[in-house]
Amino acid sequence: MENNIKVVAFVCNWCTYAGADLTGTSRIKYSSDVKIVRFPCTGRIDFMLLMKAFAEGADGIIVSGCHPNDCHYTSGNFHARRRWIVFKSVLETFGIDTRRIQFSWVSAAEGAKWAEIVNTTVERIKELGPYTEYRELAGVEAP
Amino acid sequence: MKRLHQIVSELLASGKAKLVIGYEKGTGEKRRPAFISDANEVERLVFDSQCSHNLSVYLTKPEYKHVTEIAVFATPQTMRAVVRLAGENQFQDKKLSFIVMDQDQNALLIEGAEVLANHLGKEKIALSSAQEELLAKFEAMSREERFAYWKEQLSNCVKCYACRAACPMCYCTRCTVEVNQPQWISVPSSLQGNFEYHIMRAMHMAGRCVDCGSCEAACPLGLPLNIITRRMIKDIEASLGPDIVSMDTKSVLNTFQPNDKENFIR
Repeated sequence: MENNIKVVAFVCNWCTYAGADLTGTSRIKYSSDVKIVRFPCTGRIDFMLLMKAFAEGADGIIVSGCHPNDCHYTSGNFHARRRWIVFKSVLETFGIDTRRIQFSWVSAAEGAKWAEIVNTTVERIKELGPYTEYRELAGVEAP
Repeated sequence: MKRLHQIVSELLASGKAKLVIGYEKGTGEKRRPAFISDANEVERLVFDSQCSHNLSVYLTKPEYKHVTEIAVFATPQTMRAVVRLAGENQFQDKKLSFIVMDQDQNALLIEGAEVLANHLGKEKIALSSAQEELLAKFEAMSREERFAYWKEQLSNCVKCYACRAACPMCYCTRCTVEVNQPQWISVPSSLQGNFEYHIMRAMHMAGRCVDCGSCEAACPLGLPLNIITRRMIKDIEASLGPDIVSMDTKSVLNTFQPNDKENFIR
C-alpha cells in the first residue's frame, strides 16, 4: 500500500507539457504516480482547481509552467507567480500542508529536470503519506 | 450635530443627493444604517464614534444601482473602501458625496471620490488589543496547530455568507459559491466546504481587502476572520510591496513585476 499515493501535475501546454514529452522521448524513466493535466498556461490554473484536487483524492500537487520571460502569452506566468505567492501564504494561514504542493518552472528543453521534479516530489509525498487529514474534513459535520 | 443636519438638508434640497446613507440610533448605544431621501427625516441622523458600519457596501448593491446621486457618511474604514472601489471603476456612473468627521468632530462635506482620496490619510486601521493578542498567539502556532485551530473555528461556520454581504469589496453579481457547474464549494454542511469557502474568500480579497473588519463584525458566530485578512495583507506587503489604498494603485494580483521575488518555485 506504500505506493498508493496520487500526485496531480497541473502543467502548461507550451513548456512543461512539452518538457514532459521530451522526458518520454528521451526515454528517461520517472515515477508513474503522477497524473498530468494540461492547461493552456499557468495563468489559467485557478487556485480552486488545486483545492478540488486535494478534495478529490490528490496527496500531492505539482504546478509547473514556462520560466519567467518565456510565457507563450507574454505575461501569464508572471501573474501566476504572484497568485502562488499569495496562495501559499493563505494556505499557511489555514494550516494546509504546503509541502504537498511543488511549484516549478520546467521549459520544453528540460526533460531531465521534469523527471527530477516528479521523482523528488513523489518521494516527499510518499514520506508524508496520503493527505487524509484534508479529505476527512468532508465527512465532518459542521456545524 | 446641527451642522451635520444642515449639510444633509442642503444636499437633499439641492438635488446633489437623492439618497443619504447615514447612521441613526439603534438598540441601546448601538448605531444602525439609515437611508434617507426625505429632508423631513434628517433629524434621525447621527454621526459619532459609535458609528462603525462600513456604509460603502451599499453603494454597489443592486438595490441602489439606479440611484446616481448618493451621499454617504464615511468613517476612515469607509473612506478606504470607497477609494479602492473607485479605483476598480465601480462608481463611473455615480455622483457621490461624502460626509466625514474632522479631528474636532465637525461634519465636513466632500464631493467626489477623487477628493476623498486626497483626504484619506496614510495611516492603517488599528486592531483592538484583543485582536492583536489573538494574532500574536496565532503567529506562534505550528502548521498542525493552525489546522486544528481552524478546524475548531470553522466547525461553527454556517456559511450564512454574512461576511460576504458585509464586505464592501465583495460586489460580484455572481459568486463562486453559487456556481454549481462545476460545484466549487461543497454545499453540504461539512468542514471541507467551510475551508474551501474561507480560502476562496481570502484569495478573492488578496490585495483588495481594505482591512475594515466588516466581515468579522458581521459574523454571527464571532469567527476571527480578521486573522485571515490581516495575515494576508502582512504577507503581501512583505513579498510584493506596500499595500497602498489609492485611486490608481492596481491590486497585487492584477499586475506583476518581472522581478517578483519568491523562494519556493524550483
